[in-house]
Amino acid sequence: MSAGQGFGPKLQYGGGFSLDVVFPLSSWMLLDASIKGFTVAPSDISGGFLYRGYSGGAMAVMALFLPTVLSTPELGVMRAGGGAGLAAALPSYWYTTLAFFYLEPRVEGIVDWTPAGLPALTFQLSLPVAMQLRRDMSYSFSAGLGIGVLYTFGARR
Amino acid sequence: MRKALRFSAFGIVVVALASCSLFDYSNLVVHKYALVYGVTVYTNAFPAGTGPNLLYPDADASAMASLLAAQGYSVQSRWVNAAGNAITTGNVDHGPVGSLATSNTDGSSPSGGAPADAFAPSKANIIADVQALSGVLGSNDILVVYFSGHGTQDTSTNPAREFFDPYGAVMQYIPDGQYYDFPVPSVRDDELRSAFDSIKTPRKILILDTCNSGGFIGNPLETDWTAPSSAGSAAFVNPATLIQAIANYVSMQSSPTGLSPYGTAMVLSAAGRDESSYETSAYGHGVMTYWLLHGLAGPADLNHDGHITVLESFAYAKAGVDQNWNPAAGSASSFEPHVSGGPVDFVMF
Repeated sequence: MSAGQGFGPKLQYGGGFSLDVVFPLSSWMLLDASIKGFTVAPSDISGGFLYRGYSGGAMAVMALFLPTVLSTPELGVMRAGGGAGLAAALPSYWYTTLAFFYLEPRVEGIVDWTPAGLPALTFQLSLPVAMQLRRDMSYSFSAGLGIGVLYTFGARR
Repeated sequence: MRKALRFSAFGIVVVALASCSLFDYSNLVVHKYALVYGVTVYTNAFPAGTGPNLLYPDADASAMASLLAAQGYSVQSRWVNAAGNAITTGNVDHGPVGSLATSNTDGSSPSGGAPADAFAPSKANIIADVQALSGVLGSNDILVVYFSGHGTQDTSTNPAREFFDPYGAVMQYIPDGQYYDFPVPSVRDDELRSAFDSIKTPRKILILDTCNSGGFIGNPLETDWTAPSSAGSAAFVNPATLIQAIANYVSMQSSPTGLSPYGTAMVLSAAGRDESSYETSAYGHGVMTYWLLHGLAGPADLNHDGHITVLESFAYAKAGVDQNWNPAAGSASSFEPHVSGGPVDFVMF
């Protein structure tokens, strides 16, 4: 949701893909560094104005806290927790060559599951919430649903 | 398994919530106004297309005024046509403009005027027209200001200033007999900015089909990776773009020149700050204006929602110039339309 200076709030929809490298710091704490490509569609045009759509890339660093909540030989390992971090984004507006920069603090709730028969793969659901610290808007924040797959190098059965 | 289901359900709640029209502004009443100007003949000492005179700005202005009026805009217009006559709203012909000349290096105190000059798109008339709307436009109304003619840049100042040349700005300099565009009777970017600031609506759109018109864009935040003088668009964001964007984010300083998109005006310019734009007999219009008019007639509705925004019209015009003019024009005569930054776009039609 975004609100420009002198204009009211409107919703915009978006999506993206990210490639993350996750470093385990302890059994329940991880460091996640990622690069992301994303796009945000323009808002509706009610009232004769709209917020521009934009697409671009971002780099982010997050600290993840994921204690194990369930571990059984049949089901595998399930972890639940959250994370917090900061992203730096460089998008450009749709139809233009105008690039701009902003910082984006983000938090997310995460649950993931490593199936018993697939120790190298972890399936992850997340609920990210981010605040875009854009200097050209009164406020801008986003919430969404994330789906991910983690591959763990050197995982043992 | 139960936890996975719970997250799936939350996803549906998010989608349903976001699909509601939580922020519907459709009850806002937006009145639409336009000021349209063009100068084909700057001096009646020569016919159109000769000397400092152009060929098609009156055709540009006439077509733009008709299009905007057909779309519900209240249009006021002034142009000097190819016959050298001053024409105002409703195609009222006020007769021939003068053949101005000056002995002053700044263009002040010209001689050779004619009675029709009082109706021409001069600097005084353009600024007065804008200021007259300050008590008319409400905070949600939209104003389009269009100008077709000459434009120039003064690089002797720091920062360099951009001008567009209304009637009276291009005239003969008596000491050497040559024709120049002079700063005093031209409309400078900061002078227009002051006039625009008297109008309270932030929905102001300035469209300039002139050389150097990109200099009227004053983005304090965005970095345009299409160069101010280019022979084709840049392909990618480069490291300099990133560095400049970060520097702008840190400073967010008001641009020293141009009109800020944050409240002053969104600018759609035919050319970059440091390059020329062109007109052609093949179109009977300025090149950018031709593609702008073509797009505004319908094809610029790029997302097929039944409306055309400023960005859509810009994108269509830019593509028209890029795909149809620039390949044949070659690097010497290629140019690139530019547009202001800012997070907001406006519905034109």
